[in-house]
Amino acid sequence: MPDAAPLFQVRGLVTRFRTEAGEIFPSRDVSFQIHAGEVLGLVGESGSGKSVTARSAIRLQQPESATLAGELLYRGQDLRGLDGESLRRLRAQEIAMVVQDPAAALNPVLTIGAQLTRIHRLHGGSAAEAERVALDLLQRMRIAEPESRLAAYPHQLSGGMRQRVLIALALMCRPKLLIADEPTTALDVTVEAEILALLDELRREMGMAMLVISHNLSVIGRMCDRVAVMYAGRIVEEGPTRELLAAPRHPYTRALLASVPRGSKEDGPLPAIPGEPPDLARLPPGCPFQARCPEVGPACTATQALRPIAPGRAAACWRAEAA
Amino acid sequence: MARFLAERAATLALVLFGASILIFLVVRALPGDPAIAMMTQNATPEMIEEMRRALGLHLPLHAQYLHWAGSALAGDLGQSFTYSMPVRAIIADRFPVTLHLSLVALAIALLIAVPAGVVAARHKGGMIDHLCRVLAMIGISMPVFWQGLLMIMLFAVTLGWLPPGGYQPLSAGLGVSLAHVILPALALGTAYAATITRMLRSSMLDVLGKEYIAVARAHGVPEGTIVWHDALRNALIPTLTAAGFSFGYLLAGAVLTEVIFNLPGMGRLLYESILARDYPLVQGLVLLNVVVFVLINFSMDALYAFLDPRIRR
Repeated sequence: MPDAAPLFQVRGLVTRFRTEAGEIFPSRDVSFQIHAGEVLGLVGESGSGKSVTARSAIRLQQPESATLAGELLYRGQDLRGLDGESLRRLRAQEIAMVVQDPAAALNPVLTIGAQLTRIHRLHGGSAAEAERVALDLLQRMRIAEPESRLAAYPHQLSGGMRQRVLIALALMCRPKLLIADEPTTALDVTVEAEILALLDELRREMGMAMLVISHNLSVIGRMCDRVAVMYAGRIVEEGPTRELLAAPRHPYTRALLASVPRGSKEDGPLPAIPGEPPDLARLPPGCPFQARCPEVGPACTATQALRPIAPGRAAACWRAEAA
Repeated sequence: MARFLAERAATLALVLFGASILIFLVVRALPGDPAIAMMTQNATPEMIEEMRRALGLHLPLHAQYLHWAGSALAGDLGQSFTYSMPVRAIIADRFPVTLHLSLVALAIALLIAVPAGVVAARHKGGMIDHLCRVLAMIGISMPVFWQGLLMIMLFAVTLGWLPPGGYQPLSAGLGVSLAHVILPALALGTAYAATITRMLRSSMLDVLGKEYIAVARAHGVPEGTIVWHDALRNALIPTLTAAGFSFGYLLAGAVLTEVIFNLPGMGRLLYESILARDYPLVQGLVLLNVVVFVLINFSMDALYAFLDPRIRR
């Protein structure tokens, strides 16, 4: 990536929820940046704070008071300083989101057509024009008989179809930044491949930047230019996708990669990461992965900041630095 | 949709049949003999027996039921024992009063409850939410008759703005009619509003937490549209159903309110007819209540299907 200013830059994001078990911090000092047209992957186990981090980054997480600190710089402007109306206008024009469960993400009492066209009309387009754009997008998403789908309600469509509609909905405003939160997790593998290919095609065409959140490394590997690995609210490793997947430097990334099924080899069970995911309300001081880490050492009880380990790469582990 | 409504209609017919038998038996299980209730104290047994024959009470129960149900199907609810008038005519005279009162009360309730419930949910935990909670508590706990008495004292006695009671139909002029019905409708409507507000608030909170609301926000849909259109349309579905059933209770007649405001409505009529052991009138009134409930149930199902496309087929 050239040195141009990033499209979206998050610095030092901290979020906190109060739960019955105690305070938890889904994002602890999270920083990342996305350049125009770039795809950043955020990968980690469920509960690692990926979704909350992404939603907080565009001020969508409720309640907003959960966000304690951080700068959310979109084109250099801090989203946290915007009033509601300016934020809304920015989202309407430049930001969109696709989420995991398409059945829950479409309003059950509004037709597909009503939900699609109104996004276009937020920019002051005419009804006829909005419908033309919607039809065009549904066609691009390979939805058969798009005209009749406009009058349909979400429950009348299949899961794969709903996810296509949801992506069409996100692309209605030709966003500059798309947050894709587990965009294909609810789908079966063949549909997943098709949707990812479509999403990638449209992304290139529209020159859109994406933040892809997934627990699935093969989705990340296929879609992303760069990857950030999250564990217990922290980014523990970051780098260009190919390099990071080929030579992971943080022990957690290595463990995560080792637990991914590869090819058709059916030799024995996959190694699972030993131990339990950490109790977010009771994290030990220092590295959050130390309790499960096969390479744990005395230095792990000290806070491990994310630091450069090679050009374009960073990791939050003293061993990665030494290596 | 047509099949859905046809199924409901068939169920309704069955409910009505069962209810008519139940009404008939329960009325006859009331202690006391209508023939005696209608005679003076020094009536002879022969006179009482003659009265029983005149009223058709000497026939076996099933014959009495068939006679009553058959006529009812044809629209004839029999002759009232106490009023010596057809039951249908008495009801036709009283029902509009209760309907009028109930509709105005419902309108007041919705006018208060919909904005209050939405605003309370939108500003959960804020001043307005707390204020709504306190007012709703007062509305629910304060007996309607007590609220009615207070309002009569303030608006009719002290300020003299409104009549203390009585009924004027719409034909007497909108202003006059409304002046008579507004106080009792307020007394009923505010209590009713309290319940609907609480219900709508919790259902709004549920809907506002849904993923499709987050998606709409992410795409820049204005907050007002999200709250008053996207969320409210979903939150109204359970709320209106519950509100509809309460409307059924209103139509059955609000006895205390009608007594306090001296309104010649259904609640008072039912109360008086039970005291007088006026079998045909009690049966007619209760049957009408059942029909009203059943029809409301039916309309609620239809409304539900209209509001929620997932139910339409």
